[in-house]
Amino acid sequence: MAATKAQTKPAEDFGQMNAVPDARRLTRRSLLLATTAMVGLSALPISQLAAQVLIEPLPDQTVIPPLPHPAEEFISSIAGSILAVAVSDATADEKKARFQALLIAHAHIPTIAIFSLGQFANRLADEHRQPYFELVSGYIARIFVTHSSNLKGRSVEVTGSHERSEKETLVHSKVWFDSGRALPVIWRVIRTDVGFKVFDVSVNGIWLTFQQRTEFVSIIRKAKGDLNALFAFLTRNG
Amino acid sequence: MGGQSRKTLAQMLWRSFGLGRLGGILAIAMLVMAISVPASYADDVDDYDDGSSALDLADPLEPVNRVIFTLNDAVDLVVFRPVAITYRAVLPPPVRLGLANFLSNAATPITLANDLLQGNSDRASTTVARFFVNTIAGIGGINDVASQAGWERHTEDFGQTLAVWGFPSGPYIVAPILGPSTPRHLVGRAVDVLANPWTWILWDNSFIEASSPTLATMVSAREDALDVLDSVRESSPDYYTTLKTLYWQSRVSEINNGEIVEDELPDIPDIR
Repeated sequence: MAATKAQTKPAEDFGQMNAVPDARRLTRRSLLLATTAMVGLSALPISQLAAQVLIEPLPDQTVIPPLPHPAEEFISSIAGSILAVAVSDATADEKKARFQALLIAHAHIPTIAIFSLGQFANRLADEHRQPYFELVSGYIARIFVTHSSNLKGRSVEVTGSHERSEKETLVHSKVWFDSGRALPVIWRVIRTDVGFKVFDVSVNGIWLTFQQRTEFVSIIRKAKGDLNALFAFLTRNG
Repeated sequence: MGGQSRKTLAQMLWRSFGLGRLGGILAIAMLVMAISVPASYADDVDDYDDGSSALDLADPLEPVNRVIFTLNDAVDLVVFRPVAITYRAVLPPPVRLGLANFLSNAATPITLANDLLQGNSDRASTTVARFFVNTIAGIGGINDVASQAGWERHTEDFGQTLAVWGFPSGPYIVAPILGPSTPRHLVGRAVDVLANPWTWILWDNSFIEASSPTLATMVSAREDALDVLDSVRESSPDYYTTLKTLYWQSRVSEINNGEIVEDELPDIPDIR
């Protein structure tokens, strides 16, 4: 009886409200449509489409996009090579050698190495500079190999740049992963007599050269200012 | 109210942080010590500081911090890391991702409140849109369909709000169990616990039940950081210093909403 009541009541209500002959079927159809819409929404295309329409402006045929900054082209040219090393199946030593070659070619190792000494930079004797630079490039390459399993991105997209000064430009990019996740990566690029060189890289808000400086300074501080402790560490871990 | 009124604020904070009484006492002691550091001692330590950038965080309590860090690390190696490894082994990636998404969605009220307190209406509207899209279309927040639609996830907390309002961070503190922090961050965490609806929804439940959102968040976050922390531990010359700098850089980035504040960047030496 209760079930019969429940089935008949809506028809009575609709009958009082208006003259639609089969209002109960209309109600079921509405429910069916609403359910279909919910399922469709959960499969995402509606919200995605709406977001694209709302967020992305319509293309304007009359606007000519500005040429990318040369520093952006520089990063575009090297980022793919770095990812290729990270995702390759080479041995750790091969990866290290390949990444160290990239570093020497495209990063300003002397600036990175001197910066990493912090307030102890003036203690580096001239005759130790070149050996120290080589130790630093080897150490960075080894760290890269250690972390390379976390850097297996699919592609790098350069998204823009900002020239801080005549010498320095920040280049913004995203590393895309197979999962669809994007990691923001920002490059501090300096202009030198022989072209652009990378000074620092920010991965998800972490500046790597700055990070390295705090670690190097910590080693030197523990050794009461003796740079030989740092050289020994770099020799062991490079 | 009855028995409920017998619970003190401190008990609630300890419980919500997932700390025991000892942890809470140590955390408060650390906070008091941090606030009362003699200026002369801080000045002495500054002589060692690189001091060239806002990315440097003063650490006048380093000896105490290192002791607590060692204890935390031992607890991590014995408890949290094995739990995270087991969690990863037992649950497949889609389930873990779904749980992480659900927890993130459940924390929306905190993010929204702080978006508004920071006067950031654009991010607040994104937070609201994400919450409704993910709750309805993402089945209670398990699927992050909002991100796929272009509304990227962000988090805010009261510590960030205090920073935006201009409150200084204070020195570096390693809090028991909670790990890297600052006095400003600790105060922010306490306020977020009070503002979190889950604190009040689970108010009358047992310790385990009431702590379950915090514990689930900790396990999920620890699992997410397993690979990175393992490789940092393996490669770092000084794990304490590395985590301190990672924490502070990450925190500065969160406060700046991922934007680069150019004044905070250290100068590049002019080397030929």
